[in-house]
Amino acid sequence: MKISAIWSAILLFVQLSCAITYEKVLQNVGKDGLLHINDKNFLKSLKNDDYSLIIFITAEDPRVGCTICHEFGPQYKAMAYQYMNNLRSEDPDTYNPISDSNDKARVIFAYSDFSDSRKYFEQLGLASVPRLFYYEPGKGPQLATFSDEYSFLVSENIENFQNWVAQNVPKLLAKNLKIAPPDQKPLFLLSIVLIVMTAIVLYNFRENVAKIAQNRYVWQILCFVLIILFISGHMYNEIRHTDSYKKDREGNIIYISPGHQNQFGAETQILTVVYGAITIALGLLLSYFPTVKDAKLKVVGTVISCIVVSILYTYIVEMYHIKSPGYPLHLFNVFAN
Amino acid sequence: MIASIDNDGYIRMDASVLRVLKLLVLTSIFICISGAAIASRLFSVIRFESIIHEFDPWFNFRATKYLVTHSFYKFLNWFDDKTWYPLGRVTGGTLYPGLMVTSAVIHNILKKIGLPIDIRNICVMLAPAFSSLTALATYLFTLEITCTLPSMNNKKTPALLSAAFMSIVPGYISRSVAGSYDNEAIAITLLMVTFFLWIKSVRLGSILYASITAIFYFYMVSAWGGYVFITNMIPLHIFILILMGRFNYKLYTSYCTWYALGTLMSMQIPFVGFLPIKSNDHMAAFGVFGLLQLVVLTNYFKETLSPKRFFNLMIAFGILVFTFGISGLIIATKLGWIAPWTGRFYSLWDTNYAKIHIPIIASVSEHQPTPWSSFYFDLNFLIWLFPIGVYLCFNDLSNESIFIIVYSVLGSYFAGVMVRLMLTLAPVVCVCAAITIGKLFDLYLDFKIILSKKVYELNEKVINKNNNFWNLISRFSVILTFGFYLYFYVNHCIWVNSNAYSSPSVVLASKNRDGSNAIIDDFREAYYWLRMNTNEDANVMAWWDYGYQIGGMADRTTFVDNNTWNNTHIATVGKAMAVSEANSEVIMRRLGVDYVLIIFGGMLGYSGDDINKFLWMVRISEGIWPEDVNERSYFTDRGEYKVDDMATKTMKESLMYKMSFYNFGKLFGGRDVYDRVRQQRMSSDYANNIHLDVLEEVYTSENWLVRIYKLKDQDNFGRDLIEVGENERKDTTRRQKRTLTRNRPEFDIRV
Repeated sequence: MKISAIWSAILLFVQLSCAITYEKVLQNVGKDGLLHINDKNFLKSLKNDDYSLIIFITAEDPRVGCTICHEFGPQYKAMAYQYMNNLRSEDPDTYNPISDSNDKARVIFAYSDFSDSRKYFEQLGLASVPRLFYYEPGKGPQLATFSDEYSFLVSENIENFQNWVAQNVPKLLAKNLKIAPPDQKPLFLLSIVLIVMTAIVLYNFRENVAKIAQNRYVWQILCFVLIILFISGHMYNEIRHTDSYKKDREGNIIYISPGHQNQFGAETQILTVVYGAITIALGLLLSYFPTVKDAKLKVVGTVISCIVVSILYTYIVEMYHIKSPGYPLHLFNVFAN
Repeated sequence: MIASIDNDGYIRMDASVLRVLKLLVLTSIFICISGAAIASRLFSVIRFESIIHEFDPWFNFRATKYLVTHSFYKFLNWFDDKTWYPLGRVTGGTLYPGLMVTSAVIHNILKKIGLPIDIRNICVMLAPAFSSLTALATYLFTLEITCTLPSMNNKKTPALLSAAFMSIVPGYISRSVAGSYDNEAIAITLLMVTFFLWIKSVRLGSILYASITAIFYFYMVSAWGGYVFITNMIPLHIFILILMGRFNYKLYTSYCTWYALGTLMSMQIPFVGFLPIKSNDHMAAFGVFGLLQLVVLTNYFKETLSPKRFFNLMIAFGILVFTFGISGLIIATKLGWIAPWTGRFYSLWDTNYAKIHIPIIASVSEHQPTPWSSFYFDLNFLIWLFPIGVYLCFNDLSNESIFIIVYSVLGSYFAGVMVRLMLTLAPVVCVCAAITIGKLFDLYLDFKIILSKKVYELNEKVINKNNNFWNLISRFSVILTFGFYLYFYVNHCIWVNSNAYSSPSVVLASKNRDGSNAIIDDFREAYYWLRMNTNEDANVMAWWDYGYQIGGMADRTTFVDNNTWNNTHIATVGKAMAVSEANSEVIMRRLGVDYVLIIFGGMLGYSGDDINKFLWMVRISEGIWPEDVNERSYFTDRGEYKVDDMATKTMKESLMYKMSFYNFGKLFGGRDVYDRVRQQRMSSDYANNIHLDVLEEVYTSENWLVRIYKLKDQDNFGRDLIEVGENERKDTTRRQKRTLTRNRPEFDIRV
């Protein structure tokens, strides 16, 4: 009874005011627990009437090259998701501020990326990303005059951020924001469903599938591609979300990151091509040229393959020199030392 | 007559003589390879001395000493009360004993035959000695593979090449230089031997070889946690062979023998215990074992039943097995018998999982992904010969070459995800590269056709001499370039081994101003001081990185060490370092601390010191006591990590900070104090005002790298030590203070 009374009161309130209430904004919040802000909606969406607003301003485009954004972004998203999950859960013990009398206690996590909100960024007068602002209830439309800002450390740690949120939002404890490991049961069920579905699909197309699966060349190429990807550092890019290249201060594009432990995406691309080319040249040397009947073609081909291999190898060594300047060996003046 | 020249100009030799010659050549090649393997690992011994390296080896060394002086059973039941004070550690049940047992056995055998060698020297030299055995095992392994490749004419060339590659490949040397007395030192040898025996037993289907495989697998389990790689590699190999329709009874015999014996034996290791039937790492082996039985059963029915009946039976059978399997898995997981879906399982496949949910995994540098430069650095030109070697294996598919293919793909994935797993990739890269080079030399280095007269005459009819000249050119272009790459490989390996992997990290090398070599031996100096000047039962508090070294070199009781089994205890030590003196005193008295040891690099510019590790202490203790420790408060408002005058109050008050910079100002005699690691300058007044009341400085090493403090006894009158200190400071006037400073004994670097 009580809840329904509050409900109707809130609905009435919504109709009366043009500002956005918590109930209404919750409908705009995506499945990921974030309110996405962009150029089209920032004027409308930021009118927080009875709730606190926390907005994470970032630029995830690899061209911008913001490391902290990449480090912190997933954690912020995971946390917002957790918060919304807690809100929707029916467990009475979890924190639930919807009917709280203090406006500040309700909070919405918003998210804005540079790629689709340039105007908004201009209005804020931003010079750097990432930024994280807190707006008290009703202060959202003031844009540049936020209530509090979180200052990022060099190496970000999610607990600092949770404490900061807990400071600003009364009654919300840092532990309420603690990210729970993903529920494993749905994953398990999902994998069963997936297995059954793939089994059905495979059964329906069994002849074609069997043909492909029994083809040696398919597997050969697959293994080949995988190995070349792995040894040219693809997994590093996957895990670290590296940029494909960077620009230096003069605006020149740098494809090869200096530093033995760093790497840009472009390096992997270059190396896959180089390794692929070397492999082809070697493959010709090993399987094709020995069987060639035409003597001239044989000689020319062999010599050219050797030259190609040595040029590419020199290229790899020189590329390594950029990464590790202390490396003393060059392919073609080893005798000089 | 050993040899004679016949009418055609051929040299004729007796077959037995030839065999002896071949054996001689082979042996001398092996002696060379072993020599290279051992010699390239001795840089650190020559440059420094015969000393155990780094951190973990010190524990292994200490355990070995215990084993040598006590009996084997005492070793297995060893309860170590000198670590994790006051908890202690059940050491015998929480280590892999293979390494220690190996060196103890070697030690005892040598003693029996009248060669008493100090156990330390055996430990130091164990890794190089085993690396030469690895080369031999790689030779046998590759020979086993090449024998099944019909297109390979000369079977031994790739095998010898792979042994040579393996003996000096930096990816393997990184863990096996003299003095790095770690589990990996013998584990890679065992890995190669096990794989060789496995391949052999698959080829022959022999129970004998499968049993020997199981014995070596057991040895591997007793030596290294990475045995899980074999536990999964072998079932995967079998599984793929079954999928490819290559099932035969040889596979069945060898796998079942290996699995049954290997699992039973591995469960005898106390640390492994019941893991082989519980944990998800071992599920694949068990599943394939079950699958093989099913395959055999179906094969039997297929022979005895009519096709239609067989088909119906199969469908019923399939449904039954599927439902039983799934429900069994669910029930066992629910009851907690098995834990297949642990965090580690996810972190290996979903690489972002660890980052968000298991920060401790993310923090260990060995768990970082591998950039391409590391592949080049550790494998040099083998890395681009590797894919083509796999391609050659594809050309002649056999059970054995499929093993190589599976190993290559899996190995390169794991090496790409985790830097330390380069170690398991290195052998297969050596083998594949050797197959490539072997094949190349097969085709281009074989001058038999050109040299032999008869063939030459035959050819003359078809090809003219000119062609033969061009043929030589193409041959030489290949041979010379690849010969040169081999030469370059050796150069690269020597450079890497001597520059990157041969530092003991207990002793540091540096250069004096005039360019001469200087050796910084502060660690041992300080540990030796502890050993000689403190009570035998003194408890030394230090950050966990130095636990093994203090135990091994100073022989004093430590609170935490590199076996990080108790996070709370680590956090307690971290908290004692991170909070203010007054709070820290309470913790230290309760823990029973006598001495505190810290590493300070500010004087020397040693970046791996405790102030740089300080944030981890803060973070870990914050995880347990979030209300007492807050990482944020160690950063300035601008988010900087400062140690100079601008440092935050919490930072300045923390015990670690005070211990690091106490008396540091006096070194600069009134000038600005400069921290060489953080590159920060603090004013002399401020630096001279850093004071400690509950601790007193008892020892600082030559280059200030190690500083040892003693916890003062409680005041005789029951006063608070900090109050006493405050009062004393209040009483000294400014002038007194100045004279005090001036009359102090000279603090300077003693070189």
